[in-house]
Amino acid sequence: MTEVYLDGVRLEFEDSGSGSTIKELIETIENDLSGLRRFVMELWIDGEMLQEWRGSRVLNRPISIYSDYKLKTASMEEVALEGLDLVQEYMKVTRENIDACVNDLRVGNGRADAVMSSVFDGFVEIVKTIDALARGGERYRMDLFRENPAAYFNPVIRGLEELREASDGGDSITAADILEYELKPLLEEMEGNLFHYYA
Amino acid sequence: MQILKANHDLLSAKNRALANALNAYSGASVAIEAAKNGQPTFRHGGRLFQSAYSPEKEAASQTAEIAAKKPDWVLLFGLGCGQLVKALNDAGMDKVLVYEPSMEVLSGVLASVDLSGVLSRENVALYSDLTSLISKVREIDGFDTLLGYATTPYKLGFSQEFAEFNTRVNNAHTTNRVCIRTDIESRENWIENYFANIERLPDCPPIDSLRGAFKGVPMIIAGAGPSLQKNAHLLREAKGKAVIVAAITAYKPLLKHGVVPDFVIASEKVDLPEYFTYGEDDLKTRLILAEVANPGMFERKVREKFVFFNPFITLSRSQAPLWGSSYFPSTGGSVTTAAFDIGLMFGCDPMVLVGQDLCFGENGTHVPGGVYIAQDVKIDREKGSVSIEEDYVTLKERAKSSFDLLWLKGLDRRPVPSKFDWVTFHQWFENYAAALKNEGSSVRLINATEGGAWIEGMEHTTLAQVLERHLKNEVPIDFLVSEAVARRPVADFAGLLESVAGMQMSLKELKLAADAITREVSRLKKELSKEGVHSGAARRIERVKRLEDVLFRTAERSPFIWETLMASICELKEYLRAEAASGTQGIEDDVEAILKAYASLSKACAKFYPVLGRAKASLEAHAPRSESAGTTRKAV
Repeated sequence: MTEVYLDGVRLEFEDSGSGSTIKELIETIENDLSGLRRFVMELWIDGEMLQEWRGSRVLNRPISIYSDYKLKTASMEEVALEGLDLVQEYMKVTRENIDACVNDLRVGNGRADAVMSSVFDGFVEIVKTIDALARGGERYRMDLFRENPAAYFNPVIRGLEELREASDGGDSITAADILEYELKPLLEEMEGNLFHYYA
Repeated sequence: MQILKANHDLLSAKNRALANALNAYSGASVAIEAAKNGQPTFRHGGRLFQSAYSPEKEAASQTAEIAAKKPDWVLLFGLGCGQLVKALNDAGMDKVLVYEPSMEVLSGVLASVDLSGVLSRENVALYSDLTSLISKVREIDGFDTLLGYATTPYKLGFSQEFAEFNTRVNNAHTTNRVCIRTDIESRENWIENYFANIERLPDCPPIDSLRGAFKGVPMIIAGAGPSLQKNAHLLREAKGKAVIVAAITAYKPLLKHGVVPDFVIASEKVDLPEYFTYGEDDLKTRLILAEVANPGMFERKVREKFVFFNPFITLSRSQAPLWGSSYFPSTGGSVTTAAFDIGLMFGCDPMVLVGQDLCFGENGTHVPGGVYIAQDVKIDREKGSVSIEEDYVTLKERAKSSFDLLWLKGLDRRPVPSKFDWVTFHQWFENYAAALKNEGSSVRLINATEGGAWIEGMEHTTLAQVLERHLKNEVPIDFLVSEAVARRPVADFAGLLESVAGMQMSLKELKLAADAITREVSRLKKELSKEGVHSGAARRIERVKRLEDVLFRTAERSPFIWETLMASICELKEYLRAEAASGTQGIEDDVEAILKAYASLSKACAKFYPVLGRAKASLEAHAPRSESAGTTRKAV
């Protein structure tokens, strides 16, 4: 018998055809929660917390194969704050990675490629998270950013494309220049201009 | 134009060859651009070589990276616009050798960037040819640490040149270190051999008795490289038309091909009786021996023996004139290199090398027919090592040895595997050829070795071609030798006797001073262990200093004594370097190091005193009585 708990309260739940997926369960619950401006934040299945569960393939499985679901929710504001924290952390780490990568490129350290990949990943996560936050903020009428973050997306993408081109062409000097004198200032500008407060 | 002139004036003073090369250069030059901070930068081959924003800041990162490794010398592959050299200097790293692989870059940079300040520093030098750079590297103390450094654009843009730079710098520094080791291991034997050889030297004319005796006569020098097998038989045709000199290792292999060389050259500190036949052939050839060769070599029965004196031994330099010799061959560590210089002193032209592979052959290190019966050479490219197992003619068991693998450019321009000693000889040949060219020498240098390493500065051809082009006339070699020997200068036996007697006397004084110092330092050591550092220690140290003054003054009369102590001097030098690197190690360690050094000195004095006594006795037999009895002549 499958049991579902929401914030510690057991839900009356019936999976009549035994064919519903976990994803459908969560969507149903989040639809019900939307009026309360709340989201499902944590998902525990059979006593185990699932990390990175959104987008996970686990969600496509039928509810009936597990016996126990515990869902924890958070308010939109809490989610937004967590998202802002996360993006600022991404920015800090990416800035540090830029410094390391610039140095590695200049001294010819072999790990420069690996650090540059982290820089790329960092920027992708920053843009993705800011974009998600901006959309959420618009939808739920929350003023999350001091200015429109979308204005930074194109320069970031352009800088990353130039960086990729320099890197693919083995031009480490140009790659270091782009990182230090284009992308890093852009990142610092974003950090300085976008946030109402700092985590 | 002013910038170019300032750079050019400076280069003319420091590296005239480079200044001339720049003057003669008429190719393209890189365009110097201004970075965002106004500093110069440039592109080459479509690639940016320095930051387009701040080359200065970029150089600072690179300097921090280099400084962390604490090298004594930095060898930069690539000048760039000079910011890195300047940053290194500003950070206190003032020993910087710069090799710029591209004249296009060099001419562009020197025309637009004023580097006269940086390049005027005493220990900063700029090179555009690798041979000159390597020559400078060979002058660097083998104890010093070297760091080769190149920025990524240089590594990518000049990958082949960078590989060659790395290989050759590594080879040069390896040989520096190895030469020090050889020196340490050999000096004492050399000195001992020299004194023992004094008995035989009166019968051996100095090799410069033959100075100019073979003007325009070709000389063929046979090394014992594996390729000698290919062309040794042709030397039969060369006999009597060229002076044929064999390295001792090539002597028996040549005999197997029916060739008795005119000269065999040897300088080994150990006896090598296995290299001789003890038959007719030995009696037809002449030996050229180093003054420090093993005394056993001087006892071989050959037609005639000549001696040469080494320039790197103080004792030899001071004694040679008394033996009537004013010639010290330039040598690169092998008898073949010495023979090469001797050939030029003879007046020979062309100078031809055969069997000078300087690398491993397919099946061994030497041509068959010598002292190696069978060889098994294993090259491990991944580990960078070579192991050799061989049956040597006098050994019952297989001899095993291993070496670091080094690489040279082969005759077909592809790398050939080599080891430190051959690499040293190779460098010597290239430097020698370059020096002759710079002097404007017209002597033709030919490498007719049909395998092995390419020697820059020499013509490469086959021995058959050499015979056809250069060996046309018969040369009365025996007559020319006899005539020259008849005119040889007479040795100054009285002077030699006085010199050796003076050295023996000063050895006695040296030993007394060294023992006195050892006693003082031992007392200081005891006191330190009981009382720690105390006021009396300063007085004792003062006494040691005074005794040291006496000792050094005495040692001036026997400069060879420092050479015999090479091992302990090097040990002391390493101790002082380590101390400087790690800060003070405590007075106890210093005291221990001093004790050890002076105990070695005392031991060496005791050992050499009777050796000099025997040398003196030998000389007394030759010296005129009236002079040998006196000691009025000034000691040499």
